[in-house]
Amino acid sequence: MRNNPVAGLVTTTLVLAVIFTLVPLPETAAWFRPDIVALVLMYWWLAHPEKIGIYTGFFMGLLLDVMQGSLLGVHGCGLVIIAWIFLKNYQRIRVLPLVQQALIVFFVLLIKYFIGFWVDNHRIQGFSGTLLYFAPCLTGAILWPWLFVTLRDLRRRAGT
Amino acid sequence: MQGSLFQRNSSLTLRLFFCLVICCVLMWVDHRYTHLQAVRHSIDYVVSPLRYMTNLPFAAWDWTSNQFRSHQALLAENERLTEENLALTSRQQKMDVIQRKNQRLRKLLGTAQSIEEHTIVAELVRVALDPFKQQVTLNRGTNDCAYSGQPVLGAEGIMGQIVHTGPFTSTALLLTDASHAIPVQSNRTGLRTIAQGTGHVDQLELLHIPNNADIELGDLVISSGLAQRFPAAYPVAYITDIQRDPGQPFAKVMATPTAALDRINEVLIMWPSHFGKNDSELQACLERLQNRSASQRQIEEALSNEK
Repeated sequence: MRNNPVAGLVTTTLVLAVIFTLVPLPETAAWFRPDIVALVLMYWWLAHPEKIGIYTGFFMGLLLDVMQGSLLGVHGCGLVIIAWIFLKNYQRIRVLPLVQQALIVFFVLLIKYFIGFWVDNHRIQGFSGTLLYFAPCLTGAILWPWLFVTLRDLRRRAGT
Repeated sequence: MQGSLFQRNSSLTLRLFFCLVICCVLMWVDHRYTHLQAVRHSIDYVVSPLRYMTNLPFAAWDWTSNQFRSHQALLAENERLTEENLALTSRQQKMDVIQRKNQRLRKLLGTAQSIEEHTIVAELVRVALDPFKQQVTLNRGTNDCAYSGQPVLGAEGIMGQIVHTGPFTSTALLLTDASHAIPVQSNRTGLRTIAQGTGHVDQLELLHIPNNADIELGDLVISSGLAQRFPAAYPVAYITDIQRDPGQPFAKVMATPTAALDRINEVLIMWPSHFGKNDSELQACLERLQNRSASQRQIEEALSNEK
């Protein structure tokens, strides 16, 4: 990691994101918890598309599934699709204003959560998911500009 | 990777499909079969330290608040516990007699059944899980012989069962999760039914109860042990609502779990007496566990003797 500052920074931010996902919140707040792992991954797909690829998303997805006790592959499915969208279009998304980026983030998160919703709906009889299930997309989009600026500063300071 | 921008883009879609196919296969296999427990188990080696790290501030807070508790409070608690212990021991004596009588009678009838069940205490690891599922993380894993499908009990009744095991932690599904059901019977009448979770932490639905069934508000519902997964005759829930609609084939009966599912910090994980008699691996593991605790006790005794 010492001779590879990118890997060090990416690993550190991802571990912090995972810990944030694990911190217990009160029930109402937990519904609105932004999917911070996906957001951090999105930033790195934009910043270093040649180093952080689609497989990182896949493995983080597996980790999230084990952490949250969901079906293996649910998170991975959403994350690889987001990775594909971002890696295909990173040159375009990078130069957009932050508000438009946030809008894109909202829609790609919606795709990810829709996959989760659909799988849970099929798997569990009487699944009680409501519109609240998609609340993290909104909070994720609101958080995006701040996260983007913070991570950009971190990255510049680390000189990568 | 210089100058290979477009080459990379062309293989990206291929990689996407590769990942998606793997994800779909994983989901399908994980839903239908149990082969992926090993994969989960190995990923858990990465996740467990993170879980413990997240739990650390809470554990530290507990520890400090324990350290600074007043002498008075500790004395009061000690007194209360001693009283409670006395009451429980006297009740236990009665239980012992009844148990022995029960065993004798069963022997007479030719249906020997041992009532001994082995339990260990597990603590909740305070980490967040999917907010739309009723799950908790426990600090016992396969190193403590926990297995998938193992019953989890609170002081007041059955709480749920372990669904995923890692080496040091495991995930338990609570009774009230929408995907959980447990075979139960009424304590008063012996009426057998199934308690299905609703996704709300204080509600269970009892299924397939005829409109004319003898069932009343406040009835205690206990586990029937029919599915061979949960031990029989442990309290599960109290009936809180009965709606008899003559137009419907069944009555709608709701119940509240006896265990405070959202407030308990310590639980028991149990090896039912009927389980593992034929499972030599589990038996060996349990023996190891007992040896470990015995040697620990010896060390502690030696240390206290030195003092």
